[in-house]
Amino acid sequence: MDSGDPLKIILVAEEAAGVQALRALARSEHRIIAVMTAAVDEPGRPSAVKDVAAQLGYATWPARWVKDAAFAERMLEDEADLLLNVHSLYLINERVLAAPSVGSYNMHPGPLPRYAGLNVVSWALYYGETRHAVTVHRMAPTVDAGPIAYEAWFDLDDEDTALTVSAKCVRAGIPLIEKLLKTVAADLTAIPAIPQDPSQRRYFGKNVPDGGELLWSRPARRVVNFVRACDYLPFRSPWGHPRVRLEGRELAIVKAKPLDEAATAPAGTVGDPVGRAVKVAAADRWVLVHRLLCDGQPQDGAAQLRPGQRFEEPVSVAC
Amino acid sequence: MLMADRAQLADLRTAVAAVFADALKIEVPSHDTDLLATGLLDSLGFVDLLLELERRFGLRVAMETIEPDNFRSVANIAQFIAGQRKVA
Repeated sequence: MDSGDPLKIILVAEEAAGVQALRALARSEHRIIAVMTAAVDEPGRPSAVKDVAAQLGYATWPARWVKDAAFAERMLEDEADLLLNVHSLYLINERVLAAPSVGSYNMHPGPLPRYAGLNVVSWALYYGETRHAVTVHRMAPTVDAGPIAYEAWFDLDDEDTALTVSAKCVRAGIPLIEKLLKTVAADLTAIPAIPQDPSQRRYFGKNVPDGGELLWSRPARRVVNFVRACDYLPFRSPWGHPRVRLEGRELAIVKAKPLDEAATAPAGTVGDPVGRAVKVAAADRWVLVHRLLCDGQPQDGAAQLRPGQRFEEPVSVAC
Repeated sequence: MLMADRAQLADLRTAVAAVFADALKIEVPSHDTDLLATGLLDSLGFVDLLLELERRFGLRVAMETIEPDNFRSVANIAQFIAGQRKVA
């Protein structure tokens, strides 16, 4: 392709981020060869990406094709210039990655190399980060390891949840994709390619911190960070919600916030109700538990917990 | 429900539907459409909705108190707004 020609793009996309990327591409002068998403060969599976692609008149292909080296031939026949991956988790075959004339790029919801892999928004909240970033990088055979083209940083505040941080990543990430397209259109050689420092790399897999169990013996801020990290409400959380045990019952903490008040009872002790919420002692301060799940049903904290009860501390915690 | 309350609720439903159409660019088939189950309201749309509710109705929804059912349909959202206004 020559600079200035519309690009021929294959978009591999899922979730709200994928929809926003699709809309951004549709607004551009570039041509979308196809939109690839998992739901194409899963009839009955709701998919906003599939629906929006169909409404806009784009071809939709199954996302799983990217795992197959043979798909590279199709991309070459279609003269694909760019493959853009937005929130699709399929491991893309090396030959497929190499097929587009410009390259394959991923929009990753985390700063690299420190937050590579899965559910990094949740991991950042779990670790109490106060800043986070979204990254657009060239894809390499090693997941999330390719050279960085652009990144955008933003602040996290104490009320952020996994849902709101994911939204921040999308809002900051789409302009980076648009910037990539502008750069490619103007000068192919001008795409930044900052190598990642492998010594700084942390890769997060499918595991959930602490085996998904909440430890009241930790400081209140850490307890609440775990709750926020799991909070995608009203949507499903890939980590579920942090589990606790009380008098033989398993519950899950859905909404909580730390109070400024020093805890005056051993960690895990239920304190007084505050409206529909209830205080529970962490290692240092009280935590206000607003909502929890009991037998899978959401309940107010004060409706399920009584002052003086004490949560069981897990015997062992899987890491 | 009093006539005035019914009328207010009907107005709120219309106003909420307008938020979806104008700000979120989402066409909702009916006021009772399940926005979450149908995927009409995704994660980004939901966060944008909260911002619009604050902007248009002065409603500050604390993240720690979010109830999914309050946002399940245009009708539910209108009911939620009406309830918040009574409390305020």
